[in-house]
Amino acid sequence: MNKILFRGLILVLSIFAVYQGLKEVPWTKWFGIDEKYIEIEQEVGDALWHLIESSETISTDTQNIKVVDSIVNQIVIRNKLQNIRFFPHVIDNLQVNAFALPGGHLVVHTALIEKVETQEQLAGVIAHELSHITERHISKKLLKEFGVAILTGATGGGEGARKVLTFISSRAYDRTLESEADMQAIEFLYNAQINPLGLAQFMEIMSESDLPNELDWISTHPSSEERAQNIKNRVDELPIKVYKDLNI
Amino acid sequence: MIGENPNISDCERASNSYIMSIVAIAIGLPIPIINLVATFIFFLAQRKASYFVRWHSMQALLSQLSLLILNSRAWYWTYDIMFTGEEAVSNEYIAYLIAVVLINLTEFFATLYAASKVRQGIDVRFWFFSDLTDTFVKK
Repeated sequence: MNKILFRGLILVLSIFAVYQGLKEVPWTKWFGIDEKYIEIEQEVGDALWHLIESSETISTDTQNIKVVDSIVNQIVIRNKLQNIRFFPHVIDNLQVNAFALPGGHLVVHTALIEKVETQEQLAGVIAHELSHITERHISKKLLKEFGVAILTGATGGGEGARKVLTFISSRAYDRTLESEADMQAIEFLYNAQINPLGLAQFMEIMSESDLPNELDWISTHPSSEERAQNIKNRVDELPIKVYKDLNI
Repeated sequence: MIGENPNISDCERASNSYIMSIVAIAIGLPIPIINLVATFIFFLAQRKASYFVRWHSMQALLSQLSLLILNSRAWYWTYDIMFTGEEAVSNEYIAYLIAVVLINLTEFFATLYAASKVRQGIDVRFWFFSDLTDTFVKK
């Protein structure tokens, strides 16, 4: 029996050693898989944005655009995210909503900008959406819902792309991804010297409000209050920092 | 020699247990359990055969069982990447696929070799699996 165990162990260890060795090879780099992923995401994101462009009114309010651009820039620069492309867009829409598209597109509705009580709250929502982009949550969400076929098909426009767009703009991510985005957002905001409590405050406002909105991840998520509390707890753990007064 | 000198019929039947797993590989690669089921059915059919035949059927079965575990993981990992979005193509995934392909190839050629030798009445004992087979198959 000892001989069997010994040989079995040797066999398992040999397989494990081969796997460990192979794992060290930069396969994804060699095969250009990372670049291909980014390329596909950008194509899908651009196609979806063109769909929005053709069906929605792009905001011309320079102040709103300036506020959103400025918040995104501060987060990007302070977190050294310059190697990722971001395209913030503001559209005139009465639904309180903001969502991220693949390829770095961030769409903010004017109703959201009007709804927030402070710019820190808006920065909180933006940071949360940017986290979905940097953590590649959108692709995960799309793959989970539609599979590879419709994701690549979305670049062709048409019904498939419309379905994908409706899904992205109106559905929450799963609990794990939302919490991950919350925590990442806190880090982004903290590094950008923006008070991260704005995100928790906005969550509380929206969960208490009766107004119709499309921010599914806040309004209908069963644990939104718990998440707001988690954000506060996380912020409490961070070293004390003097935050900038956002007054854009 | 495992058991007494096998006759030609026994050699062919023992060799066929290896051939069975090779034949099923075409279907078994996309659906990993097919290999095992085919080999298991063959093993059941040989339960009352001579020790030589039972021993080699069991060795073929056990070696297929190890592949099932490895191939199943590759299968579900690929499924997660393609359809659930839970995983992305990573170095770990590619390394695992290459390792699994190498192990499958090794197993394939070892099985071919065993089938050909056993048909000639020559014993082939796989590392570890032969020891395991000794404990399971009694004279």
